[in-house]
Amino acid sequence: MIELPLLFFYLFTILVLGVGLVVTFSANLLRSAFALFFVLFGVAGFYVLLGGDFIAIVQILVYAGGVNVLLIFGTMLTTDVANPVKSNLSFQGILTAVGAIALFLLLYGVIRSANWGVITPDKMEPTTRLLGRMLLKEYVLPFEVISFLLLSALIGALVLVIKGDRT
Amino acid sequence: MNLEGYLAVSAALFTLGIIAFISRRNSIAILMGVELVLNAAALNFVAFSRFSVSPASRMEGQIFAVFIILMAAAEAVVALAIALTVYREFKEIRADRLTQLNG
Amino acid sequence: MNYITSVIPWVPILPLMGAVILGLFGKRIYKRFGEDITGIVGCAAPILAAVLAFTSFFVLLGLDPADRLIRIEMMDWFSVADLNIAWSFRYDPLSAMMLLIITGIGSLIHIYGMGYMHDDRSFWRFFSYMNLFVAAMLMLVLGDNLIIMFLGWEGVGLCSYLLIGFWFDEEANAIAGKKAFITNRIGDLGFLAGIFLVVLYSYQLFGTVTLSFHDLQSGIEELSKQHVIGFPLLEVVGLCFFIGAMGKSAQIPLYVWLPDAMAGPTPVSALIHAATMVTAGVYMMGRMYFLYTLAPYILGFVAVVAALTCLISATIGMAQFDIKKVLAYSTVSQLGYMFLAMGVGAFSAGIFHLLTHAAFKAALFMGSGSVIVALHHKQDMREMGGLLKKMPITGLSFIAATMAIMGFPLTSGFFSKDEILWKAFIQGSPLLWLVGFLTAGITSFYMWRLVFMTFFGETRADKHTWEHCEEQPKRTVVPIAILAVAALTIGFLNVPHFLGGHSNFTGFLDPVVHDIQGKPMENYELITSASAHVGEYEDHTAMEWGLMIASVLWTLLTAYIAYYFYIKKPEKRLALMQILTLQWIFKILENKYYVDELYEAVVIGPIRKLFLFLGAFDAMVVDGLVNLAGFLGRAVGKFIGIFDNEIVDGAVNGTAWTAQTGGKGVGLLQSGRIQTVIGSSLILFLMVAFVVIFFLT
Repeated sequence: MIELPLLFFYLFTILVLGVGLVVTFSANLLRSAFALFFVLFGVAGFYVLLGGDFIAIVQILVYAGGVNVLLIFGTMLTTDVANPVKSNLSFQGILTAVGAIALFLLLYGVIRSANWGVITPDKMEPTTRLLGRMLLKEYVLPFEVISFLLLSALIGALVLVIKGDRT
Repeated sequence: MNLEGYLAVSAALFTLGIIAFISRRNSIAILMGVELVLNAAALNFVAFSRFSVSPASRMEGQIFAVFIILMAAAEAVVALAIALTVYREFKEIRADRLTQLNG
Repeated sequence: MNYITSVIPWVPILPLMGAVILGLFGKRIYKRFGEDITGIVGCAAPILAAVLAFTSFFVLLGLDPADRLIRIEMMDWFSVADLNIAWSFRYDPLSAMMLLIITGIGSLIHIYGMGYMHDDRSFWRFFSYMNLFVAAMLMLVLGDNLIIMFLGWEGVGLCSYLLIGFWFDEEANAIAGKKAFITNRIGDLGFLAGIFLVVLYSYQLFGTVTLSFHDLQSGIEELSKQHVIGFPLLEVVGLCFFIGAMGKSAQIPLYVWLPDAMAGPTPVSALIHAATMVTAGVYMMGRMYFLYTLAPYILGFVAVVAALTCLISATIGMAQFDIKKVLAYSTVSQLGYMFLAMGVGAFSAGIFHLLTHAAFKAALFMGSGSVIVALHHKQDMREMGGLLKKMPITGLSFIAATMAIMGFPLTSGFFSKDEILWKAFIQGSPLLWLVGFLTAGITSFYMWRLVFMTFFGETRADKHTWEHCEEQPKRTVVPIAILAVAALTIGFLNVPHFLGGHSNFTGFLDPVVHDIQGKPMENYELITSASAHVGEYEDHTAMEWGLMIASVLWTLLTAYIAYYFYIKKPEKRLALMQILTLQWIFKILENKYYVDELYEAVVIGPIRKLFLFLGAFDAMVVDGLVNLAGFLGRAVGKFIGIFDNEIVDGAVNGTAWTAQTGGKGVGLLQSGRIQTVIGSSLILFLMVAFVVIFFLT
C-alpha cells in the first residue's frame, strides 16, 4: 500500500517535469505560457507536501495569478498567435541540451553523494502566523527593501512604456 | 518523500529552465526560463526548511521562498515592459536578432 | 573611550553619505546653486570626518599606551556555517595615524579641488567620486578583518579607475584608467589568494575561520608551523599579500600603471596616487607585521624588489619632461623606500616615511597642478621656467616640499629617509643601503632639475601664456602652503636617539607595530629556536652620524649638479648631451627603459600577431586587439568559437576554418547576445566542476 503523500509526490513530479518540458521545447509560445501555469501549480503542490501552506497560496495567487497572466499578455501582444513560428529553439539547441544534461548529472551526483545531515520532519503546523511574525521582526529590513523594489519596478515599467509612447 | 527526491526534482526543473534560457529565441520565452529557474530555487529553499536540523532555520527557507516570489513579480513586470517597448521600437522580439547592445 | 567608539563609525560613513548625495543630486545642486555650493557640499563630509578623526586622535593620546587598541563591533555582516564576518573597526595608533592622513590631507585636497576643477562641467561628479574614495580608503584602514579591508581595497581601486578616466572623452585617459584597473586586478588576485589560504588553514587548525587581525595574531604561532606544498604557510601567504601590495603600491613589475594614472585631474594624483591609495600596500604590511616577522624570506624578497623599484624609477624620473610624470616616478621610487624599510623589518620607519611622504608629495602634486592651471594645461617643463616671480606662494611651497623630499637636514624627509637608510644598512645589507643611498642622490637631482626648469631661469613659455599666468586663488594656494609647512616640520615627531630625540613616533606605534630587532633572518631563528636571548644593544652612534652626513653631502652635491647644469651653465649641459653615449642613455631613460614596449613585444605583441593571423577575416578582431584585457577575453572567445563553429555552422570551409575559428569566437562574445555569454559561462562552469570532482577529490 503506497502512502498518500508519496503518491502525490510522484504525481506532482510527473506534472511539473512533463509540463516543464512543454515550456522549454514547445514551438508555440502561447502553449509554453499556458504550460508554465501548470508548472507553477505543481510547485505549489510540492509546497503543500512540504508543509508550506502560506507559500503555496502565495505561489498560486501571485505567481500563477499575477506573473504568469502577465507573461501570457506579453506573449499575445507581441507574437502573431495565429501563425506560431515553427522552430523556436535557437541555433545553440544541441550544444545546450548536451550541456544541460551534463549539468543535471552533476547536480544529481552532488545531491546523491552529499551528506545533508537532515532529520525526519515532525508533523506540520500552520506557518502563516510564524511567517508574519518573522517578516515584521527579524526580516523587516529585507521586507521593506523588497517592497521598495516592487514599487520601483512598477514605476520603472510605467516610465518605460510611457517613454515608448512619445517617440 | 525524503530530501533528495525534492532536490532531484528541483535540479531537473533548474536544468529545463537553463535550456530555455540559453536556447530560446523569443525573449518572453527566455523570461519563462528564468521563471523555471527561480521556481527550482524556491523549491530547494522550502525543501531544506522542511528537513533542516536546526529548528531556528525551519522557517527561514519559507521566508526566502516568499522573497523569491516577490522578486519574480518585480522582474516580470520590468522585463515585460522592456519587451513591449523593444517590440514597439523594432517590431522584433527575438533575442538573437537584437544586437543593439553590441559592445 | 566611549567617545571613540561612538564617533569612529561616522568617519567613513560621512564621506559615503557625501558621495551618495552628490552622486544622486549633484547635477541638480550644481545647476540650481552653482559651483561654490556644490564644492562646499563636497568638502563638508571630509572636513567633518577630519574633525572627528582629530578629536578622537587626541582622546587616544590621553589613554594609557596599553589601552590604545579599540575594537568597535557594529553588527554582523554575514555568517555562513563557521564563517562569521562582522562589520568591525579597529582604532589603534596605526589606523589613527592613517585616519589623520586621509581625512586631513583629503580635506585640504578637496578644498584645493574646488579651485582646480573650476569651470569643469562634471564638477559635481568629481566631488562625488572623491568622497567615495575617501570613504573606501577609510574602510580599508579601519577594517578589523581581512574582508572589510578587502572591501576597502577594491573600493579604492574602483575610485582610482573612475578618477583616472575622469575626462573619459579622450581615449588616452580611458585607456590609462583601464590599464590601472587591470594591473591592479593581478595584484588583487594575489590578495584574494592570501585570504583564501588563511581561511583554509585557520579552519583546519582552529575549527573556526579567523579573519580578524586580532585572532590572526593570536593564532600566528600555530599557523607558522603549517606548510603548503612544502613551503612554509606564512611565507606563501606573505607572498600572496605582497603581490596585492605590488599592484596597489606600484612596485616592479606592476608599477607601469602609476605613471599613466597621471591622466586624471591633479587633485586625484595628489590624493590617490601619492598620499593615500598607493600607500595601502605599506599599510597592509604594517598591519600584518606579525605575519611578516615570521616570514623572513619574503621580507628579503620585498627588500630586493623595493630596492630595485626605488632605483629604476628614480633613474627614469631624471629624464622625463612632463612635470607630473617626474612626480609619478618619484612616487614609485619613494614607495620603494617604504617597502625597503618593511623588507628589513623596520616597520615603523616605513610607516613614518608613509606619513612624511604623504605630506610632501601631496604638496608637490598640488603645486604642479597649480602651475599647470596657470599655464593653461601645459605640462611640459620645457615650456616653463621663471615662474617663481609670477607664483611666489606656489613656488616657495614647492621648494619647501622639494627640500623635504631630498632630505635636507631637519625637514621631514631627512628624518624618515635617514631612518630607512640606517635600518637598511644595519638590518639588511650594505648593498641595500647603497641602492637607497644612490637613489637619494638621484631623487635630489631630478627634483631640483624640476624646480629649476619650472620656477627659475628665463621663461620658455610663449608670450600669451606668460602674460596670462598668475598666482592661483586662495583656495588653491593655501592648502599647498599648509602642506608645505607640514612637510618641513612633521619630521620632528620621530627624532632618532642619536640626534637626542626619543623616536616618539616609533614608540607611539609600538603597541600595534613592533619592529624586528636585528636582521629578519636572525630574529626568525631566535623566535623559532624559542630562546629568549635577544642580541645586546650595540652602540652605533658614530656610524649613524657617518652615514647621515654622507647622505646629506651626497644629496647636496647632486642638487648642486642640477643647479650647475640647469641654471649656471646650461650650455655645458648641451655640450654634455652631444656625447653619443649620454644621448643613448638619456633616450633609454626618457623611454622608461622601454618597459611598456617590452611588455608589448614579449607578452602582448606575439599574442596579437597570432590573433591577427587567426582573425584576418574578421574585421571585428582587428578593431579590438589593444591590450591585455582584450587578450584574456579573446582567449576564452577562441575556445568557445571552436565549439560554436564545430557544431552549429557545420559546413565550414575547410581552408578558412582555422582562421575563422578565432575570429568567429571573438565575434560571438562581442555580438551582444546575452545568451551566448551565459551559455559559455555554463560550459566553463561545468568543465571546472568536472575537473574538480574527478581530479581533485
